[in-house]
Amino acid sequence: MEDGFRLGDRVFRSRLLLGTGKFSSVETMLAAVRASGAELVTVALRRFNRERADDDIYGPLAAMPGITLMPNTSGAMNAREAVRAALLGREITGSPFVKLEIHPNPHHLMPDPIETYEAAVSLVKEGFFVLPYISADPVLARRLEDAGCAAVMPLGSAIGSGQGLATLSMLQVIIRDAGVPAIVDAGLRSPSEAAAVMEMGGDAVLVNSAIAAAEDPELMAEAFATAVKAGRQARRAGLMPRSETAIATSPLTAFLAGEGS
Amino acid sequence: MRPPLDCGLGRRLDQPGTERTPSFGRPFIIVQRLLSRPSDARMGSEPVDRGLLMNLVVNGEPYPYAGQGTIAELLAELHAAPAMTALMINGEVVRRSRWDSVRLAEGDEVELIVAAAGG
Repeated sequence: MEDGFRLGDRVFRSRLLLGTGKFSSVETMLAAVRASGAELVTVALRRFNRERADDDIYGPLAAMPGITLMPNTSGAMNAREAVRAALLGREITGSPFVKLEIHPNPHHLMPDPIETYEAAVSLVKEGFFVLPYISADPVLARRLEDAGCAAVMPLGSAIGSGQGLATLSMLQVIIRDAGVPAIVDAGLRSPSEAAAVMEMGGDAVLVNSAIAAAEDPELMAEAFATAVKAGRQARRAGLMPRSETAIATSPLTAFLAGEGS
Repeated sequence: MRPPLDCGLGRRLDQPGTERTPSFGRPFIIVQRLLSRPSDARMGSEPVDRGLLMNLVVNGEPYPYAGQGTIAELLAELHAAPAMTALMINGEVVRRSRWDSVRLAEGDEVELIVAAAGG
């Protein structure tokens, strides 16, 4: 059975979503995308620069088979700017997916829930499949789901911090209650954390810094892909129940003591 | 069907002191404000081979411009690939489907946006 997950009108097989920021070169980034097996890849927007007309990432990414681009709204300080960024991103990529992120404070980059909600409502009306980046807040997650978002993307910890699953207990609640895919975005550092998300029933993870800032991004991309697969398999296989006491796996019969005279 | 004039060009129609584009004459016309609507072009009320000089602001920088005022022409002049570029005029996103019907005007603030690396 195909174990895909649905976002909007598409079914994706890879549960590892990849960000393209912070890589040392476009070539390294492309190699990591390839190694990750990611099918949904984020891009940001910037002003066109005449001096950097050749410094293009859209061309090579768009040329990769099996890749759907998801522009983000990074840089937007409020709902209005985020909606504008989403429209621009769609103009460039033609993609119906948008990673909605509004984090006005550069020190902690925590998403603004009020502006995010407002923008989500507008973008859903505009026909986007909206994937909002949010704090690990189950109430907000539910409100965004009710507003028609295609998924919710709660953070594990602050963007780029590598602090892992600092919000673990709230992530568990969101994952348990969400009626749309729950994708843990931001803060992951190691593949084991991605596997843990999948084991607890998360639908996917979005990783960028952990791969881009690794010593060998291509190898780390592969490591995350393997971990996500392993975690997902474990989830489907069903983890054994936890016990307070030891339960022996070998027979504890006293035949050794009973031997001899 | 005429697209709505909501990209910043339209607002100027109602501004006092707005000057109309001279309809005919010299091949090179310097105007304070160019107001060109797609219907004008279709009705053939404007010369085809008109050249215009105007001061634009492109991505925040002053940009003296000479040409027909089409988006395609501006992008070509800047070596910006149309398929990879999104456009705003005076803060409003101008969808690709409307590019052909929009004409740039004196003082327009144009933003050209492309994809970049990001997470």
